[in-house]
Amino acid sequence: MAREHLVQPITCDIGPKERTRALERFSKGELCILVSARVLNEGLDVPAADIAIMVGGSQGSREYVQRVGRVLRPAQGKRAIVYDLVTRGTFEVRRADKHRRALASG
Amino acid sequence: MLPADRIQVQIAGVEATPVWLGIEDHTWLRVLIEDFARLDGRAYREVITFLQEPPRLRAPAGKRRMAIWALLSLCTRDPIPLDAASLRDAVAVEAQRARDAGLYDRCDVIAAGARSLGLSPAAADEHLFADLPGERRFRVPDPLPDPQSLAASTNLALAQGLLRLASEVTIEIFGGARVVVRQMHLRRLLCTVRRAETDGVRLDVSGPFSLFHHTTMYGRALASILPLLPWCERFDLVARCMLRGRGVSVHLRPGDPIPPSEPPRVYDSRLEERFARDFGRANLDWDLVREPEPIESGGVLMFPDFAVVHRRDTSRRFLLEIVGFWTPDYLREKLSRLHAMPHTPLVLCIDRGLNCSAGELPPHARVVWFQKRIEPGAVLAAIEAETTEPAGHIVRRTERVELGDLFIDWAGRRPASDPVHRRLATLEAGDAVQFGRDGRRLTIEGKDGPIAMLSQLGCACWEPKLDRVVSATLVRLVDRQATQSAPQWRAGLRCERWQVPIVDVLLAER
Repeated sequence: MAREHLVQPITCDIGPKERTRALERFSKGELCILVSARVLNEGLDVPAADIAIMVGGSQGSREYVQRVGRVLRPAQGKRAIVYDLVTRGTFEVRRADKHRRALASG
Repeated sequence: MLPADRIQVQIAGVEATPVWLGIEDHTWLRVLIEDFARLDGRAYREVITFLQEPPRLRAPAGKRRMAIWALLSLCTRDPIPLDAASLRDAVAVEAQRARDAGLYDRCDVIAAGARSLGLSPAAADEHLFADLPGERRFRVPDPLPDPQSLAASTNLALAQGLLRLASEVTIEIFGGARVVVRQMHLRRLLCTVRRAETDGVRLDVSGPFSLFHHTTMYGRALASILPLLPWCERFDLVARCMLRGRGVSVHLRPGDPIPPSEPPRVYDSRLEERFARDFGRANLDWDLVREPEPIESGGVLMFPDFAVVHRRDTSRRFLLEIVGFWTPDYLREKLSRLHAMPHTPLVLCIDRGLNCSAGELPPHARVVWFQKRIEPGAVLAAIEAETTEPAGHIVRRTERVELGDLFIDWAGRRPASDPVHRRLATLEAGDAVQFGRDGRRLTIEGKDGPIAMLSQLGCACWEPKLDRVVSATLVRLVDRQATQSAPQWRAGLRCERWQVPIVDVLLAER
């Protein structure tokens, strides 16, 4: 995805220096899109993010809540949207419902 | 060293037997090597994906995984040609600007990013992720190994991987132990060297699992010993390992397919090599013996550099120890060990640069000082001075009371409660003993009484020398069991195990 759309990736193979630089550019608005594989699930705050597109389904409700939490960090006048891509007619639909319920129940 | 999850063993009880690769595996190994040749120049992620797919030719899965690991460890990845992280940053920023302006075109963005770093667009596109592990270009060794050498390196990696999981390793070596002991010391392994119960050398080594820190580094150091073992005449290695969550013993023996290293160097240093060459040329009366029998001192074995033996009278024998470029601490330790062997005829060759004062030297040792090169003439002079002093001066010589001189079952014919066993148990190598008499037989006595009796043959040999005995020292105690005695003598034995002393006797000749 990063290669095809020329988007800055943040994966486990990307060094800490490059990650920090990318997140700084994202906060300043110099970059508006980041693509990540799991690295941004936990431990990092990205309050500047207002849209999350989850392409790969998370394994558990806890991981789902953590992922969504990355873009739900409070900021003034913020409205965040989370897209969870699932394949119709597969178990992913049921799993996404379960995750949403877990999120709603807090 | 194979990682733990790749190691293949068959476990029966507390014994684990390594699953070696043999000649029966060569067919599928050849196919695997051909597959690797096809992967040359591919991205590493492609290589991994390819290897995870079912093989072209059926192969034992566990063995194949070990062989793949061994082959991968021989392969390399191309160096990173440029600063890909900066290139990615420049391209991502350019892409964002283009999107903001509504003019996003992938080719234009790549070209703009490449321009900012002085690259061609094609090179920038190709190397955009070149630094990521999965994107690095994979290179196979040239030439690729044949199935036989791949099997050998896999077997070595398997044995080394097992050693890395060891908490304790015991190696018994019979013949050629010096090279292994030297490597142990060079790699600073936690090791004690003793004489084995049988006629060999026993090394007790702490395994990496018994440590808290530097376990990988220590494991590598320990693994470096393995390829040296096939150079010994015979060895028996027992490693106590933690495998699949349980403690097991792994035995490695000479028949196991562990490939040997390059032939070990005959001499430890060029200094020794040059001295051996010069000494051989300088005289015809004395032979220089490389790696003589180890000598015991305070329970520890020492491996002298050389023995100097007279060609026509082998009882005229000196040990020669070269103390070259060593630290004062090492020298002090070495000298303290030598002090514990008062009757070992010894020539010490010491580098003048060490500036070791005469007071530190063992009084019975002949010292040859040298600088850069040991003069054979000086060594010969020191030996000759010891053995051929002018008439009227005392010349001393050490002879040994061997097992053949002793009535071996003497202590065995006494019950375990007999004081002789207690006397033997309290003795240590280096303790002074003396000759005594029991009727017509000669005995060897410790502080509290007799500890051994000489055989008829031994008495005949030693009786004429008694008036020349200066002193006698215990060298070691040999364990003896009832089962080792001839059947006709067993009826007279009254205990299962006992000890027999080996004694060095210093004789004076006028």
